Amino acid sequence: MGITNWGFKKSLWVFHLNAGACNNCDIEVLDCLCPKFDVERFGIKLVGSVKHADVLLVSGSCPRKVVPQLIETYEQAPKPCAVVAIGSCGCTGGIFKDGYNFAGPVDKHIPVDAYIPGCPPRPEAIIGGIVKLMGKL
Amino acid sequence: MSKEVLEGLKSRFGDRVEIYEHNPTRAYVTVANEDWISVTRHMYEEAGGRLATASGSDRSTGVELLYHFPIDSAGTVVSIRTTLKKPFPKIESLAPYYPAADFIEREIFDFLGVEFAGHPDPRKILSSHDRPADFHPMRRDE
Amino acid sequence: MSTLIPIGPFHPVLEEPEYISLFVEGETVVDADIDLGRVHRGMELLAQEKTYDQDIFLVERICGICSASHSWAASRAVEDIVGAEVPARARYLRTIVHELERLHSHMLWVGLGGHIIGYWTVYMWGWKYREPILDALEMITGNRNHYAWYKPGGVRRDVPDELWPKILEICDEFDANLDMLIGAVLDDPVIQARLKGVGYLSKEDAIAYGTLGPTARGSGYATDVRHDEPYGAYDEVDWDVIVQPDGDCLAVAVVRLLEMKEAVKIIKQCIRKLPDGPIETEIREVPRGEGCGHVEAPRGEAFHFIRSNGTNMPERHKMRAPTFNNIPSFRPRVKGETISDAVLIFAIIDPCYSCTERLAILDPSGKPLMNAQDLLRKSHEKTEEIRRNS
Repeated sequence: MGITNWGFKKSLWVFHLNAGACNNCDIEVLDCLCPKFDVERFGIKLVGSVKHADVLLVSGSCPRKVVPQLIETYEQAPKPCAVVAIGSCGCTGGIFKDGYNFAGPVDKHIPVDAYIPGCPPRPEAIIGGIVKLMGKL
Repeated sequence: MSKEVLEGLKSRFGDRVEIYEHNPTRAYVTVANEDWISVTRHMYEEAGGRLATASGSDRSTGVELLYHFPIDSAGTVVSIRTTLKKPFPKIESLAPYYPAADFIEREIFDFLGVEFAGHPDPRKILSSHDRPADFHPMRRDE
Repeated sequence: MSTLIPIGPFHPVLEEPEYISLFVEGETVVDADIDLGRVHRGMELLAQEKTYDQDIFLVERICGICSASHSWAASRAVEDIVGAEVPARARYLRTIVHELERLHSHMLWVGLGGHIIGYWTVYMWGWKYREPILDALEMITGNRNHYAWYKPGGVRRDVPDELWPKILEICDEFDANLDMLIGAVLDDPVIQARLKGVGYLSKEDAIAYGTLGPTARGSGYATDVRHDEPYGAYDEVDWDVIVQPDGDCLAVAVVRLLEMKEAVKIIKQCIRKLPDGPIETEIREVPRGEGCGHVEAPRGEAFHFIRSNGTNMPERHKMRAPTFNNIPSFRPRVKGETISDAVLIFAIIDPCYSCTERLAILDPSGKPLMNAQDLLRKSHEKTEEIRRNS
């Protein structure tokens, strides 16, 4: 395994962004970092700047106004950067896909490596999804 | 209960308000465009109401404005209604008298194209900046 | 000559993407503006293409934290049109879930508030203590959030009696942890220094800007739908509206902390007094008409207006989340305050669109860009400085 992959498997730094989500997925993501689920023991941590991120976690159905910022954030992430679309909205647009302001889903604008469906996905599902992603990387 | 509030409206405005009492805590008051600002100001300044939100809709009769005023002390919601003529619906803004109306009227402008005369900041509030200026998604014009 | 600082749209602390612009002179904020719309999903237009049952599922997803409130308000609006009387058991059950939601929402805010001022322990405690509440919600409704449990006329599923002892146990444990947290937060001189006197909103301004919820009650403006137009079981149990007169960030924080104590009180009374009977009154059709439904969500009044044309789909469904009315109060609160306090002052309204916006300074004179990390760091630095000097 290459040094990048070895680095990935040791600790994933995650930048989370909300592209028009109702917040539920975002809260469940933050729940993963809190004492009950505590993914930091696996070396996964949330970073404050996309420039430090290995993984970009995107929630939300991408309303029109948010798309330019979504793309810009992805471009600012140093590659390789895995993208995870989280929640029904992130994966397919969910219940909002027929809305007039719907400009997604996420994989319409940026390449997505993993999809974690659910409304919201439970923290266990999120952790499971990230673990699968680590396997893929 | 709405009774006191409605009695206040009747004594202040007489025939200029058309009242429909749906039940003891919900009433809908229809007014003409020219009485709009005096009635809505009365609801805030004299009747103890607060503007919760405004429902605008494009109906067959024109663009209808419905300002919802819960009156906390009376445990009731009194909604004030008026209909504006298309294609350029226009009415006086409540925002200079009642700052809470600021964002609420901007949203109506955004979705229905209603011009609020005297509004301190008549910008769209939710629509994406790349939409055309005359894009008002709730209008049903042909 | 004021500098523009855009905050957003993706901020590490706050959750939602909105774009706040701060106009600053030196370190002092002189004005603020906010650009909304990044979470605008066109729900009102979508609602017109859904049946009333489907509409409730849509409306739940306005906000992930107060989904019970929106689905209850929308159900009330339909019940208002029909004139339906919800049976007593359903009213009590609805109240229990509503208050459980208030508990987890306020505790979430306590955690975020802690994070913003650099108290990571408070953040972790807050989010750890809300987990059992989510378990309780899952026991009752089947999901931690987005319950699909409220419906026009009542609730979808009953709760078996054997669950209540466990839920009461969860409430008691939460209450004990809450007491510890309240003591720790209010006794801490650094937290006091960060919150006291910061972001002041007068009662007159709170009324004029139409603020709602704890944001209003922290300025002495006692508006609370549960008290003003009682719904559910609120007029059948003992509880108090929490109002604080001071109008600053500390007052709003205290309102939220004490409201959690009241919520536990309400839940326990509702469980003790829970009547037997049906859990819904069946609504077969919705006649032509209009209805307004509002409830006191954790952030303030959630207001729904529905117009029915007699079909099984609403002709018009207006939905208004409380934060929309609270956001304008950010401007008077933040004027005259420092940049280090700006994020905290915005968080005090507990925005239900979280503004995850990156802070960046667009300085016409060419000063270097400040990003979100920098602004958050400024907030943490202020806390450190206060600690050093105390």
